[in-house]
Amino acid sequence: MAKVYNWQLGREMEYPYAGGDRERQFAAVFNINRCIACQTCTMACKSTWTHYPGQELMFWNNVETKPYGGYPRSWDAKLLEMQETLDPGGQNWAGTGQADVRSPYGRFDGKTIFETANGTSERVTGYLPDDDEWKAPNNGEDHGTKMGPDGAKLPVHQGWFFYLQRICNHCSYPACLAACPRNAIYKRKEDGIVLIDQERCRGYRKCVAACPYKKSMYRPTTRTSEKCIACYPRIEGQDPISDGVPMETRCMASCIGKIRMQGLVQVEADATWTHDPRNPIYYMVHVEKVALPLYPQFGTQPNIYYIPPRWAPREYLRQMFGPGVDAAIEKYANPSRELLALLQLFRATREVIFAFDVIPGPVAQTLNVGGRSRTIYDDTVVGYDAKGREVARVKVVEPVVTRPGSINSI
Amino acid sequence: MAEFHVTFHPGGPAAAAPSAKELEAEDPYELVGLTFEVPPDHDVDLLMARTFVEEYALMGYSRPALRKLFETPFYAGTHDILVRRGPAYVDSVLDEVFGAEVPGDEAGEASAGAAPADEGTSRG
Repeated sequence: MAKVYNWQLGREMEYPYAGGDRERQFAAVFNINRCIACQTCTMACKSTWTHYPGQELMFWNNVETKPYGGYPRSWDAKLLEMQETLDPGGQNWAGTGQADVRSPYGRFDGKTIFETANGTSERVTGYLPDDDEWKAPNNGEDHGTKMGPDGAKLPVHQGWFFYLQRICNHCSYPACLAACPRNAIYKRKEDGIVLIDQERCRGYRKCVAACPYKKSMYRPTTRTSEKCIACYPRIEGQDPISDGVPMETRCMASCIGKIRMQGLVQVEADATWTHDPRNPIYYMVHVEKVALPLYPQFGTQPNIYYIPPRWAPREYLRQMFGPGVDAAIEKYANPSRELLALLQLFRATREVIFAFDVIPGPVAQTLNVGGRSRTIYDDTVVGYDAKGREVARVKVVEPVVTRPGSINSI
Repeated sequence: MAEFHVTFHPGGPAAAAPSAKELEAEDPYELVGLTFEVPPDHDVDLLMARTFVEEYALMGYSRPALRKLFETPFYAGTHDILVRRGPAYVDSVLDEVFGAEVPGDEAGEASAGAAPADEGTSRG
């Protein structure tokens, strides 16, 4: 095992391969607070990439309801339990974090999924879900619960559930790549996208078992494993309408709730991020620290970051997003003037935004937010593409159009 | 396995003899996920109501516009809070965020203004 640096854990860790040359990393921020689980992202992905024979139960993008279930069923609870068994009482964080890109959440003292596999025949701790566990990907969501004499009824939720949007994390230290006995999985230098070479893959499913997020999936008709490809033709600017600049993936670009923003961040040789506060993803992850990685304790350094739901119990969220949860929610519930403007830039354009600026505007209204009095400004936020061209310009105050009550579009 | 039955009424009204079937493993309607105990002091309604109100208020929505989100049954989440906790509860949340309602301020303009934009932003 090589020693690599994992900034999300704030320490070095063991990984089968040494870090290689890197230039940029595919990354995104998902704002859980605004997701309505419409599954438009899910269907945008499925209708693009996984609608062929053998892919019936394959959802590279899925949105699942927490805490009920998951896709595959209970994927996270199962691995958390395995890790606790292999590292009893050890899955803990130390410290409260530093203003440092090398350890923003403190230090994780427990063992990662690579480290708990030491001394076993596997390179990574994981499990292979049963076929049955891949079924019903929306289990626990808003579907009818009972058919009675009056027909089916939708449940009325009074709980604290939230929706978790999931794609491949294109991890900096991918477990799928580490586990592949054929070296069929590789991580691209230019954008950090993790791909499976379909020619080399023999369908051993080691990657399916190893990926802690269960985002590598087996396709029986080709006898190979497949996974999210981050819509790489769009990232490469190959789409005819992209004018040669990177475009966001299908799942991001189709989000009607405007909860997703995708980017490409510059990375150093040790996979830490190069200082770039004009990059919106860098700004949210490292400056504001309002967006957090999913289960960072697994150790793969995932690159999809989540703004946690502010209404869910903190204990649950700390296990899911690490010790940065409380500060992140505080930041989100009472955002800085700049963060508030940046949140409006989500889904303002299909091009990947590489830099943003905020132009101060007039006072919009005074509120008591997060228990404190504050003034809201109608600032303007501007986004720039890879060539430095302006591609989006929006204001903080959303225009509201009220439809006359006499019109019924249904 | 949880006590749960799916009742079918093939081809007719409920008066037709129903056939009860035991739930099977692949039945997608069975909740097989996890439960998580909510701490006793965790007021979900208040947290959700504040989330709804503050999310939209930060984007410039007025108090009357937000009140309508609770009054309209088509917005199930907000309306459910109003139905279960009552209008006074919703008004108290709106009061917290917008301040006590100003009589006659139907458009919610009492707190809006047009002060000069002399305050810079803070990105470092």
